[in-house]
Amino acid sequence: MIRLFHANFGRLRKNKLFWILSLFSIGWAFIFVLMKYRDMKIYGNIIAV
Amino acid sequence: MFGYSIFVGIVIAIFTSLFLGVEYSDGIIRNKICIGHKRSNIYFSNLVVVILTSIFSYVLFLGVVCTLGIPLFGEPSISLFHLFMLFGCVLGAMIAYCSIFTFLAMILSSKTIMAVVSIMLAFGLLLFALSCFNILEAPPLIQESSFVNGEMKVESVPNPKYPSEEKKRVCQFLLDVNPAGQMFQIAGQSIQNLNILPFYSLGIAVAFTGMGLILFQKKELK
Repeated sequence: MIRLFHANFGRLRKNKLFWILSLFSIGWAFIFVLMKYRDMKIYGNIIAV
Repeated sequence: MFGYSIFVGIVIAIFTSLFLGVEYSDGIIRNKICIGHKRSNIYFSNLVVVILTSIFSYVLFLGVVCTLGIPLFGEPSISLFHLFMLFGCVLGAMIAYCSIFTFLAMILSSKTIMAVVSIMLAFGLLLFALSCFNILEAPPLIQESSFVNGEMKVESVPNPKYPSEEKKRVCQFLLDVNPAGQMFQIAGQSIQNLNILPFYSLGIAVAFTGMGLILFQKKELK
């Protein structure tokens, strides 16, 4: 089982899709915060994060 | 903090179908079995890797949101206990999603069919949750305008599409069971049964993993 995990994580580390997914998460987080910030500036309301 | 949770199903579907899809197409599963690994161990290791990757992507999202969001908007307005309960529900729903898509990935041999089925299922679950959500959010009264003696008159009339109590209960149950529905409720912070949601997720995860293990044991790998 440990060897299987090791093999899978090794494959995951070399997988481009995994890094694209990570970048997507970071990018989406930036967009999300900026959208909320823009809303706060326009409407002046306090938004729960 | 929970804005990402609505899309997480689609992200997991794409990742699982492409990452685990090559297991069949490149003959990785056959090689693993040839060198003496058990089929159940192969299934569990794949499931754990998918779950950890999904959690990792969510942690990345949370890290950026907290780093930028807390200085900009201040600390979260809800209690810490409630926040952790919501995170627990997100985690449960993500595990449920991962078990559904891993089940599909281990059962379907064709990478293309698996990718199409997984992504269609993710969108299907999302749309189904949305329609249930719309039924539950229907207002009891609607505005109806009519012309009386040349004057427009607006009055509130009962909504003919307002669901009955029975229909509401069924819709709420379907919304609670569906991982996409759980994510919708968490993102909108309109959760009715916060304590029950992780049990539904656990049930889905156990059912799909059990079914997947049985079918994967019997699957002929050529």
